Amino acid sequence: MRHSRSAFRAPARRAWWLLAAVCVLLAGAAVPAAERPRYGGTLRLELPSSFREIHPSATAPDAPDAAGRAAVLPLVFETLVRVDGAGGLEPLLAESWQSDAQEKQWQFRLRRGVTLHDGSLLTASHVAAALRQMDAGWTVQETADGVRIESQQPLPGLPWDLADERRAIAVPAASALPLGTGPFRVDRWDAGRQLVLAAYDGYRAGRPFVDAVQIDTTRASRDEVMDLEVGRADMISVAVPNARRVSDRGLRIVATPPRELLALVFDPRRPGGGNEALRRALARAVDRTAICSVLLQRRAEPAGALLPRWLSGYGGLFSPRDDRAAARAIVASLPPGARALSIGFPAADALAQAVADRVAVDGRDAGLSITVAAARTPTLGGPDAHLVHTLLAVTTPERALALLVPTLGVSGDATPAAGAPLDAVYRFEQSLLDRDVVVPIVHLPQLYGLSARVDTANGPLVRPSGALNLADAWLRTEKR
Amino acid sequence: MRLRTRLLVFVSAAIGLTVALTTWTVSRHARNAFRALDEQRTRALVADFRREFGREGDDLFQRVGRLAESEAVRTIAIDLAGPNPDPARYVSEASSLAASHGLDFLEIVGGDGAIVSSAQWPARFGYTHAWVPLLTDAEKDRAFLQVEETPAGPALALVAVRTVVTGDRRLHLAGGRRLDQHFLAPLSLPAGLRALLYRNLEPGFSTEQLIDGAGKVAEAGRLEPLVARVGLLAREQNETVQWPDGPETFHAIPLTGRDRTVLAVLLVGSSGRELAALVAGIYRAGFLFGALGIALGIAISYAVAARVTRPVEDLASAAREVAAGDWEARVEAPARGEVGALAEAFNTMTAQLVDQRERLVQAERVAAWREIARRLAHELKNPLFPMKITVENLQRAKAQAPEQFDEVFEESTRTIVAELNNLNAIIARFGDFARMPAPRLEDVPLNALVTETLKLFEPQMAAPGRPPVTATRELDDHAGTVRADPEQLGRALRNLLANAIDAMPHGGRVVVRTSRADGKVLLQVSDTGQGLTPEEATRLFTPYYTTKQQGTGLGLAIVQSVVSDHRGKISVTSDKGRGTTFTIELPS
Repeated sequence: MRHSRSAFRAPARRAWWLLAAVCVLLAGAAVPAAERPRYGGTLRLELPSSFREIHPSATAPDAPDAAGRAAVLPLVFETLVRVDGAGGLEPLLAESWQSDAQEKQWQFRLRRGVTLHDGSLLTASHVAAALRQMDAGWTVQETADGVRIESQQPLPGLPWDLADERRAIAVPAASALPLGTGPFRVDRWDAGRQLVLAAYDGYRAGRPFVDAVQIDTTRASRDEVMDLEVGRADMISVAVPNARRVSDRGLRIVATPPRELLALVFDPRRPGGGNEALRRALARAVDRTAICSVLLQRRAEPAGALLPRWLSGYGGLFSPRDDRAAARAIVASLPPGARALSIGFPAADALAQAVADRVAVDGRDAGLSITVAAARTPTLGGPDAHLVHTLLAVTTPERALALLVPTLGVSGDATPAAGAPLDAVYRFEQSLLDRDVVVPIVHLPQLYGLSARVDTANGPLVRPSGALNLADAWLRTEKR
Repeated sequence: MRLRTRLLVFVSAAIGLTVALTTWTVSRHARNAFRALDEQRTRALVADFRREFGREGDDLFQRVGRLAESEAVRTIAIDLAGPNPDPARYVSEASSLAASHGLDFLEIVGGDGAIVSSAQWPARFGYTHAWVPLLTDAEKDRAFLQVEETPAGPALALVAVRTVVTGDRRLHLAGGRRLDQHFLAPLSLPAGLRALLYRNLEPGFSTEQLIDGAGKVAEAGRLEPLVARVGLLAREQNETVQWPDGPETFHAIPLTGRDRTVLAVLLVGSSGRELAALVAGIYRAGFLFGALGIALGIAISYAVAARVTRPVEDLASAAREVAAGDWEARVEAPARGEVGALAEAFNTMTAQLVDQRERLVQAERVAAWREIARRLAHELKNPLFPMKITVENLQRAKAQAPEQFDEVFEESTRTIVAELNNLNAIIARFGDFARMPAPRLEDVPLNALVTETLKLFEPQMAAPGRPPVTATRELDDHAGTVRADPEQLGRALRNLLANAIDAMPHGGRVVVRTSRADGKVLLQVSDTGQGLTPEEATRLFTPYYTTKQQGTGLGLAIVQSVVSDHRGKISVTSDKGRGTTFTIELPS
């Protein structure tokens, strides 16, 4: 079986990306036709990520940090393949790939002439060494034109796994930082404060338009908006509740498809979390529509399922079960002593806190007594439920679900294997949600605010995976 | 109790009582003064709080009013009054507006009561405050107490509501200030006073809700009954709470909300610690000065008592010496004063007593000699007269009848010899009385002595031709022995028995009793004779006094002498016509 471009396409995803492309085209139409992309300048980007470690496989402490890493690190480190604008796979470091019939052996032919940021050629041995670090179950061998990955178990859809930004190729170097092959190289790094990427002149697709990308990670969300307004930043991550403010100032916003999940995860070991009636009552008490329309300024989607509709295609079958009357009736049937519940949310995650507060208000309106407090991941003796804010992997539904379930900390049936049919994925998710141990609240996109200076010469500024496409971004000259 | 002791006690009691009365009076006045001052300060503090409350309310009302007239709020009102209003646009507005206008609470509420934006609980958007559109004009003209819901729980707030009217649409602003320790902090609290605020936000009493200007109040639970009572009665109440370091009187004032429910209780605590300290100081001073006064009083009274009582004690001692027979006792008389006069009088008295005693002794001595002379004359006269008659008869017989002279001589000489013998006997008795020897003491069994002595008289009592006299012994087995000279004591008993038999010439009964009691041994001899008159009884022991025709009057004098030599006493009781009882009382 030979693949040159993605053979995995989903109608729902395709529709979303078409819509995004139209938005970008419309945005581009606003640019005077006479103005052409220009080189130079430093794009000032403000993100809430800490970048305490510069390596693709480093674990992010929370969803905003993970989102920031997913947005920026692909500028430095590239994967063998990546998700294209249409929701399929496209070659990146690998020109093509193929597998045997059992999908136990995969052959990737590497692109020629790719250089690392120190100017040396990226070799198959570099790639093989990086791949070996990713999965101990893989046997990676160098071939004449690339690498071969073998496994005792079938590896269906392995390229989708390798499209994940955490599977990017990073080559160890003499310096502290590994070398990548992306359009930008790390120029300066002040861990937790600032990361400066310089345009890599030797990039195979041509030098990026901007000379550098300066990423500040210390600005608070509100300050980021202010910086964008006053021209101290060119691009910022926008917390969903602030989107209105940004757009009201006439500033542009670009968004990924919904790829973050806010869900309430009960801890069955706790008195409140183990009470199924209480879980059911709260699941019905939450006014997701109000959360999305007011708190999240219509930038989010009420979540009836774990995976967003564009990713799974079956999301419509899991409509949100908002029903306050039913919630009140359930609560009324509970003994007074069993109406208390504690909800934890990730510390320093203002969005999660706001949603948790609203969940508490809705639960209180139904007759529950809910306390909300910042908490770490579910632990024994912690709150009855956690509001989990997690980043969804943008690959295939079964892979996204397989990566999601461990982050939720729920136990149960084994997640569908990679390459599992969609109906199996649906049944798994249905079984997960029926017990109301996991209560999806909303799906959120990632938003970026852009100053008037920022434009793009080719394609959207944000890829479907959340990676920023700053290689094609250029900066307008300030008008005086 | 000695005079000196009484004087000390009296002086100490007088000083102690005076100091106690003074201390009590001063402390009472101090209490009253403190109480009045406390009431005054409490009233002032309550008035201060009300002024602060009113000032804060006015300030809040003005502040919310300015906010309602601000461009930002006008824009929101106009936008929400237009077609297709989108309240979601303003969900975060309340927080920024509250921050910019210095409000702790702010909610933007639509005309229907739905919360557009809430600063204190942003997540409450869309929920309804039904009471806001229903506020009366009067309620809109002032700030009022209100319980505000927040994610952290209910909070007490001073709230003012202002309405922005755009066309036929209304937009309400409910702004407030949290009533917490910062609200109490500006109150100027005199020393000893404190202002506490209980926020009545929960169904039961919560110690968390009791604050003062610095925050939570320690041991708040002790105020629960007072707070509960004020909450129940919605009236001002007073109560004194006992803290470990002293009492504190609380004046509790209910603070009500729009619907007159008690939402908070202001407690003005007036510490009784200062008063207690003052009273304790007064008591300490009282005790100190009392103790000093008593000590000083004791010293002074001791000195005074020494000056006063020493002569009195000397007088008493001298009097005891006089009583003991030392009539020469004298006291040293102070120079002046009543005690000096008393001492002089005492000395004069003892001197006169001695003088009178001397005179009495001389008189008695003369009287005794006269009595002795009379008795001697009487005793000697009796034998001498027959002797004279006999001699005269002998002379007459020789002269007138010589033939009978021999016969007469013989008879006369017998008579003269008999009378001479009689004279000898008289002289012998006088000699015995004069020669009464000192007793030789030994243990004498009293009952045996009585029995033996009675045996001597049995022949006499049963002599033929004489009316019989019976003897009865009533002897106490516990009479035991006495330290006595058996010869002298037996002689005394014999005299008493002889007197008893002589007193019953017509017969009768003599009873001899012995007994031992109170460290004394009693020996009684009773007869059923004719008895004695009181005068006879008093003179009975006088030497040479006798009621008998034949007697020297020395018997009972000898008895008394024997008893006296044995350091005993003898007494006589007699009932005329019924008998006489002699009682000898000897030391055991």
